[in-house]
Amino acid sequence: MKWKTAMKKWLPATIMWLLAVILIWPMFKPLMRPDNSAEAVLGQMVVQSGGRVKPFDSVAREYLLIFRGKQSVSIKGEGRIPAREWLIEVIFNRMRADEMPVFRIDNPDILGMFGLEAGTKKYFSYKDLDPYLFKIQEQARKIDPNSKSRTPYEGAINRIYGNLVQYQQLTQTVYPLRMPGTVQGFYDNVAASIMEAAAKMQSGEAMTQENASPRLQMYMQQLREMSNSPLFLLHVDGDWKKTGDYLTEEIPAAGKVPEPATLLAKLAQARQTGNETDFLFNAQQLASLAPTETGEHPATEYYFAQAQPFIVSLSLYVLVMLLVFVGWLFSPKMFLPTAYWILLATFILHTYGLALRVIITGYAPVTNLYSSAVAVGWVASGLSLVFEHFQKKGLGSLAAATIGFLTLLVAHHLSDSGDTMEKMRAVLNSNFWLTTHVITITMGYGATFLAGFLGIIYIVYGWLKGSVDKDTHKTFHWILYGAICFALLFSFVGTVLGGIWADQSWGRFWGWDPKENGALMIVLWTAMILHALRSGMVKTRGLVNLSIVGNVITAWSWFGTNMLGVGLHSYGFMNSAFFWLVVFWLSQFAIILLEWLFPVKVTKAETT
Amino acid sequence: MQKSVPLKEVIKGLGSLRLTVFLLGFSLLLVFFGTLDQVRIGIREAQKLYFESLFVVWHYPEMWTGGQILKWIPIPLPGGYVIGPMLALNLFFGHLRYWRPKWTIVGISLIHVGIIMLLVGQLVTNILAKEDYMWLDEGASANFVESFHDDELYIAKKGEGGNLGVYSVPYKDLDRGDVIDPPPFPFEIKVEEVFGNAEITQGGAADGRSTYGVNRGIGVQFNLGVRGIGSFHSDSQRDIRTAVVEVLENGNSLGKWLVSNVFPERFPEQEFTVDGTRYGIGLRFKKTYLPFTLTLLDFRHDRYPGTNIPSNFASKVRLVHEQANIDKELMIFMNNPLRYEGMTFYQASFAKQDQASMFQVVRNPGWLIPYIACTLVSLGLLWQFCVAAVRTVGRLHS
Repeated sequence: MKWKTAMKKWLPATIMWLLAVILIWPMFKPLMRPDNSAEAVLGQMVVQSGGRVKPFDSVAREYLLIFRGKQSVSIKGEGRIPAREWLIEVIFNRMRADEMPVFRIDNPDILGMFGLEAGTKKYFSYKDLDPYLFKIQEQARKIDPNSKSRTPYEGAINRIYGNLVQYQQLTQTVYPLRMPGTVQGFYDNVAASIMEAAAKMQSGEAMTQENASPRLQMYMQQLREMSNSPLFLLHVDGDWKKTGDYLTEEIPAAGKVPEPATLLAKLAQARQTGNETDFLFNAQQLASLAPTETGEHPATEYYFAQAQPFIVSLSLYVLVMLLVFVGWLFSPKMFLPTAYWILLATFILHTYGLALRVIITGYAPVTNLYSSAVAVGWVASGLSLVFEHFQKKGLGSLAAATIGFLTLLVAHHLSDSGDTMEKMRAVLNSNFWLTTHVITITMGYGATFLAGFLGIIYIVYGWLKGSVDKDTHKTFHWILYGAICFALLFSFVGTVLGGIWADQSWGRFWGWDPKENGALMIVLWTAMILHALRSGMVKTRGLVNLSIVGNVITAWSWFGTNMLGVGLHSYGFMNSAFFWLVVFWLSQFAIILLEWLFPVKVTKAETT
Repeated sequence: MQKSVPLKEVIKGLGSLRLTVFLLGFSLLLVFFGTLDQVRIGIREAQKLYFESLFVVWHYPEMWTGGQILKWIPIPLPGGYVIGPMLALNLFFGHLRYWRPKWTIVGISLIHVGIIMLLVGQLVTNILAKEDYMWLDEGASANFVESFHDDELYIAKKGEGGNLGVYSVPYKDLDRGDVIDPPPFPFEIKVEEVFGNAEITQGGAADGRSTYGVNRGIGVQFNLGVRGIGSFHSDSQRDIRTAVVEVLENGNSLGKWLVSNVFPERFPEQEFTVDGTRYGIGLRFKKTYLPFTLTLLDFRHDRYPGTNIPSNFASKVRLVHEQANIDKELMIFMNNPLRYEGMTFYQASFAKQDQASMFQVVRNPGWLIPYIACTLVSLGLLWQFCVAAVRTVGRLHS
């Protein structure tokens, strides 16, 4: 009998925790199961790209996200190919990479150009697009680069053209396009040609562009094109080198193909002929050339990319949401405490992810739109935890889980613009201001969203339960009030710090820039709510609805202002993001309208 | 007794929280629509129209979805110069009405004093702040700054080593038909035509353009035709301000010149001679002379390795101020301006393959006000927040 009560008490919690552990497992997997494959060796290898030192794997993920919007390629019959393997093929075995469907195209007009209907095919390989390259280039060149407003077609054609160019540059990291024979053969020919010219020079003949042999001219052109690759693969004598530049500089000095370049040729040979032992051996050789001390944290970054702490957090937030709903419907006592503890674990994980980012980038946690989304969710989640701690009805847990989930989802979709850990441009290259201004502003966003979502939760809770009891009603009032106060404090301080930063870097405290105006709107709105409460113009119900409007205003300030294409904070118009922004706004107004039509009832007694 | 009742009512009304709520609501709408309109008319114009005005009407943009019908619906709003002072009054009277000597609301007073200071500071900035710029090539010096937006008509007396004296009239004071009599010079200038923005092309009077009787200088040399056009309403493209001026000596015409603010960087200065003395004439970006000289010693543009992403812009300058006996070398870089003589020099731009640097030069006597105001408000908010937090936690516990 005792055993049975214990079962009843502990079994559900155990099952829930088991679920949570399964979701957390990816965080530990890279640590528990070291991968010694050639792909992993190259994946961890340190390279330089985009102005910073990072693992090869990060470069692969970055480009695959840009081209395909995913961090892996799925091929029918072959399954899922991870990004690093794809980039290895791109660099060492172009023939295979060209067949992988990595270019995502959604625009119906472009699909029409290929004679396809929308919805039939989304992902294309380079080989698929090859016959249309000229046409795509022609269309892309027609677009005015200074034009502010582009049609969706123009945007899409520009994007696919840019992606194809980047892909071509990447494929030439180790060997050029149109190369007969093997990579080693090509390097040898280049060396022979260069040495022949050098011999001529020594015999007194002047070397100019004109009298160089046509073969040498062609080789030099190919080496220059290879140097357009964004990837610095070789680290020789303390310097990062692109293969093309390295051969051009090193062959005349050494009189032959230098050893590190030979390694690249061997890797290509092994990859192309499928000799896995050779490939692994040479991969290890190449990786051993990479610097061990870089001043940055590529190993941490590699782990970060494998573990994906924000994706794991996202799934855990979903679990918490489900647990709260299940708890409300069936047994609060059984589910809500576990939901709370799992939420706490999620929050710790979320924090861990942010901390890793700070270590890897060496910047404050918020450096771009992507990381602001991650941080906004973190702030809201942390504040909700505090509320849930005082008032254990699952309301705080649900708010934390909902905002955590939504912001991480937004962040996930923002990440396909490429490197999310990029170096900061000169004016932003100041950790002091990034820490003070950006973080306080982010905390303000987090708090307004928290108030807004708590407002929604209040309404949904009231509808689900039929009514809200007086106690909960009061609790909501004070939590919302607290969140709004917090929001005003941080939005104001953040806006002011932004003004001071602007005064330091642009010479004006306030310039009516859209982003500044957006921040001001949050300050005005929260100040208005507090005054409306103080004057008695609104009570709890008004507070709830005004807080939901706060969501609309914060979303405008956070994303909308960037889309105007005006001012110093503009990051360009994002079509798909604009669509979701409008959807979000409409949903918020719909909730307010519905609450007006079906008001939440407040009852005196506790209802169960 | 009876007299004081209406006054009380006025104080009550002006200090009411209801009014605050409405004013804050209207501020929000004004900021929102002002931001939207920046897409149409640019930040500067929108600022004038919305935040530095008494009243404004917003129309739905025609280009947007449903614009054909919706553009007819006007949204009238009070402008910044109505809302700002109203908020200040409201605050003042609100304090008369609600102020109590209590520790728990000390923060409220701090916040509101700070806000009044912010509003005043913004007003001071609007009225007094001047934004200019200074371009320097490496090795070159300058003792003047030029205006981003203002232009001036100038006459310079020429001598062996350069200008012996300059007389200038702000562009905005020029009106068609004006006769200017520069006191130091023995002639008068008649303003024949003024164009806020103009299209100037070769080919003289054709396609709606006219030469406006210009008979001397560049206008004749290149057979330029002028047509007045509307403002560009652009933050990046300056309006081409242009004028036709006639030089009169004792009522006799010495000729008519075409002057425009785009000429100085394209053509040599236009000149004429009176009594054997040469004079230069033109319309130029308004210049302000400084009591000191800046020399650009070196400009640095650092990039992240292997990319074109800038990591730092920095100018090494030498500042020479003879009267003050100052001669020193300084660094001006991003987020680190030079403050000197009430002016602030910011690293703003660069050109000529990193051989030239531009500073934005701001003179704002009120620059410190927002710093003080914000400290007050932040302290007040922090105080109130702590009070509210303690209270909320107490309530949640009970």
